[in-house]
Amino acid sequence: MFSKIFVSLILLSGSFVFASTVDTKKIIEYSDRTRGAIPEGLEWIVKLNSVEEEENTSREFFVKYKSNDSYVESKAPAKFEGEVFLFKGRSLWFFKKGLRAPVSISARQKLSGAAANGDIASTNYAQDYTATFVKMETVNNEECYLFHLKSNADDTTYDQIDYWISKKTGLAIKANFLSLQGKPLKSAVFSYKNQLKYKGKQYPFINEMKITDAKNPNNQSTLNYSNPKIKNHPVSLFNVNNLKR
Amino acid sequence: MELWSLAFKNLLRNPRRSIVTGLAIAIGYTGLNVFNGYVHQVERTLAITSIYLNHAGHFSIIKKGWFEKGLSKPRLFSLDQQDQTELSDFFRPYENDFFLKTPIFTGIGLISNGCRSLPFYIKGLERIYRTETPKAPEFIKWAVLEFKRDPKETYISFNDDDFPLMVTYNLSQLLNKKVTYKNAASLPPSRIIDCQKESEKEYLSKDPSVQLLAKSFSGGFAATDANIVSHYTVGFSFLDDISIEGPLSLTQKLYDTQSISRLIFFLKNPNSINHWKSKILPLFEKRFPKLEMVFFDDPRISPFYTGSASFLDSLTFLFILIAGISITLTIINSLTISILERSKEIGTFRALGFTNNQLAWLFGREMILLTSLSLFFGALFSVMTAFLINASGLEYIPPGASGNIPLRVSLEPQFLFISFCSFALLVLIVSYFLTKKRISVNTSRLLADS
Repeated sequence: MFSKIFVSLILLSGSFVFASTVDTKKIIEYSDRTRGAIPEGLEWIVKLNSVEEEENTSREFFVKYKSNDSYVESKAPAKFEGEVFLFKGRSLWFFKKGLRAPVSISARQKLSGAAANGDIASTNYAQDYTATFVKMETVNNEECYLFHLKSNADDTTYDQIDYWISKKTGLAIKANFLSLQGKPLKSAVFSYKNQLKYKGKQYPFINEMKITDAKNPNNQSTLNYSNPKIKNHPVSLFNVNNLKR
Repeated sequence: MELWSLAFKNLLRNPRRSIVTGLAIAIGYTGLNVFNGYVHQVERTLAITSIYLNHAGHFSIIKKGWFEKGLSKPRLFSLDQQDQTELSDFFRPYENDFFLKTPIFTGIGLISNGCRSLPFYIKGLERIYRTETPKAPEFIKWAVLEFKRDPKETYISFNDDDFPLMVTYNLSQLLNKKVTYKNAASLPPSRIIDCQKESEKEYLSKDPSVQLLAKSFSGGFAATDANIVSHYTVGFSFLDDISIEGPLSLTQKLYDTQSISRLIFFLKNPNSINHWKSKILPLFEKRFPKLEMVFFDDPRISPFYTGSASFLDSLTFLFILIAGISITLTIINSLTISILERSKEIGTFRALGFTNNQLAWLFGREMILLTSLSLFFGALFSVMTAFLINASGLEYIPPGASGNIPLRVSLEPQFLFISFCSFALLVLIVSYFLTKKRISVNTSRLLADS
């Protein structure tokens, strides 16, 4: 009996010591950077292919990012060209030519297939969520930190996320998006074949995010990222009042 | 006839007791009729609200599964043009039975004032719906005044270019849109507004334009400007926070489709609905296995109506039960005292050769006379009470309703007659058996009773 308690205490203290040595914020900030959160600004193209109820849809967006704001312009198909999604912090606005005023929408709203509006913008989990290290886990033969992320606000894209980040590369490998009650909504896997030069160093940059619906695994969305470039955009681009100009 | 005359004279022997008993019966009967009149009025008003204002029609045609997934996956559960053509062919032989047949498109999305977005539930209807339904006889008879709006006050007076929209009072308030398109002095120039500034609220309230955003059938977001041309109510508070209505063509344009959600049918003769359920429905089900014919009393399309109607039915049943028990107890009480008082008289009748059966009928006649007179006066009181209530102009807010509705009582002659006969029969049975039981004693004991 005593030996069991002793072993448990040893294990508990061991994991506590390990958890305290994991710099959660730093790890998530690095992984965010490889998914677009570079404060100085950058831009990329994202193609979104979705399969829902056995039907394929395809969209293309041009994303401009700076200091947690994103300006996302629809490029294809032609009928959606000119539509703009403006992410101002966590607020999201939709605008298209001819409208008298932009429409405030939710990042959680479904965009296409399994993808929500919030999925097309950059990721800033370090700022929007409170992360807790859970344990080490192996995913695809890669040792990963498993973090549990809890939203800091009501208007983030997801309430909770289980997030696996590779210990070796610092890149997010997998995510399970959960509801407020902790029920799985979707899962996503990431790959990083793009390269981005930032502050003189080459960094890997996300090239694919594959989102699968938890209820219906046949409903999937794949976001393919291309042409990531560091670019300093004017602050005025991200002002909602300038959308109509 | 002599026994009836005797029965009447016996009633006058103790006028005070007869009046008190009669009054108790008359008041109970009045209460029952007035309550039923109120229930009838509420049931009809709710039915009409459901049929005409919530667009259930007397029946409507939908795709199977629409109630479960119609709003989340509208493209899969809408009636496409081929469905509409086939339905037109099927219903062509019955065209003369319809007062109106019209399509409806329903959808969800976001309505925005430029600062704030709220969810909406839109109904797109053909303009003919707004011009014709106010002419339906049952609508004219039963719909409350608030719903009887002049069609010219709706979107029918505006061009499609204006994207005219009717928005519920509650939703308009939530969006801070107080002015309608017609009443706006002129459309405020489109300008950038700072939503954080308190002073901008006035500008917003004077601008009748809003933006609608929806998920189109082609997959992306669709957005358009629209103008609030009038405010309205759908009658139910839970829908008044989200409902909007506009022309069908524009709604379909917003959702980028030619499909419709339902095809609604209004019958010329609302009483023929049972014929439709028994005769036409089986033919329809055979011809269209993937579609469904939904009648207005289906809880899926009229949950508020069916829920309230069954609640009111159970209340009426309870009320009838209480009234029946009260009348029975009153009769038992009065009759028992009468028999006790008249023991010697009963004994004398028996000595003269009257049988127990004949005596029971004599007392039965007395009670029937008393009850009939009481019920007659009860019916008169009912008419007077109903008139007074209807003339009083009292208003109340029923649970779940979005505003005041007048307190009205609509007496049902059928109910008056049936309840009259039922109570008379009840009294006859009770008095016959009670008397028979009470007087089934030895004649000498009856005569000796002091």
